[in-house]
Amino acid sequence: MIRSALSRRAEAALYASAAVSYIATGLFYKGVLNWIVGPLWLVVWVETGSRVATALAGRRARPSPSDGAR
Amino acid sequence: MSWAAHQFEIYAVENHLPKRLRGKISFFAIFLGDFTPDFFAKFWVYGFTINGTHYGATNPHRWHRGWPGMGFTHTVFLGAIVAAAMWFWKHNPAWAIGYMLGFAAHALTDINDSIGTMLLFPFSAHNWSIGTWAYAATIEGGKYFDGAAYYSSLGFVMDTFWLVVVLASWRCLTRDYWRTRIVPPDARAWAWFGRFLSEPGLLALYRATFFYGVCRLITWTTWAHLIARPTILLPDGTARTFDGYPWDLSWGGPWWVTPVRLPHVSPWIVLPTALALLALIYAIALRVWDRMTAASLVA
Repeated sequence: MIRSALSRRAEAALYASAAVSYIATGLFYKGVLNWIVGPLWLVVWVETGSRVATALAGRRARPSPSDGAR
Repeated sequence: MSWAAHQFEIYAVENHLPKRLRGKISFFAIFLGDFTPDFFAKFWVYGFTINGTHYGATNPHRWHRGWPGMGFTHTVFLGAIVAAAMWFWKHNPAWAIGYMLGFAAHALTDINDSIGTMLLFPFSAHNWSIGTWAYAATIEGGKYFDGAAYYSSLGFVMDTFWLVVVLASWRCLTRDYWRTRIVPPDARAWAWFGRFLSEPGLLALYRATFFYGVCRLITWTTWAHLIARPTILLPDGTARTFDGYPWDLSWGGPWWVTPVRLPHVSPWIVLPTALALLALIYAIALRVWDRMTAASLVA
């Protein structure tokens, strides 16, 4: 399995933003309100979001080269 | 027809399995069983228009639920046939039983609209309906009118009811529940998805149908009552433009949908028969479960 983890707060924010964006899009473009786009919307949103969050957290945790030089 | 109820009921079916089957039935199979009836029947109900020519059913309600038509896709009979075929093909009881339970949930939920389903097909081609709300799929109205009618009637209450059922057992949406009850019966399938997705992505995949149900419930209801400006023909023959489709939570509503019917049985015997059929399906599932698991070990 691909390594990625989310805090509860980050997970809740991802789900909420996925719902708001999907509902807002669906209100004006009903073509997205179907059983393929709907579930896929959440999976892609959460997967992308969690990977970005994991990468950012990793970058923050890793010491920068300038730290080592000091 | 039911809308988001079909998305919510798969979680309810899985979460309320008989004690002996808990953690052993495939969630993917329940989803597939619940999804099959409309997958085969619904695309032609609304049809599609290319260069001004409409392609689709000339009589949507008969096509969707009647016989002759695709009504057999909403029968317990077809669910049993496919579940049996699955069993003889793969000898996987988690899939055969799960598929049957999901399929039955869909066929039984759809007795609520004014067309209903052919519960006893092929022994009878009569439709069984309790007429809770009006069936509203029409050629002229398409999906928009259907959605507006459903979310202005007791269909909205139905979706909300199933949402509350799932939320009342909210633990079925948690990570621990997914790990301990959903993954084991489908370990290979989840492992395959795990080649492409991280754990948050896999969990989102499990919750995706619920997410879709919640979002379509909110979106269609908001659109129908806050955004749409429909012109509706009143009973006295005059047309009037409304700010949003009018609510009608009376039995059989909304009033602004022209009722359509198919040959049907008395509504008074529908609910007891449907409940008896549901009990029978669960009794059979429990009875064959042990035999199936024993046979699958031999195979």
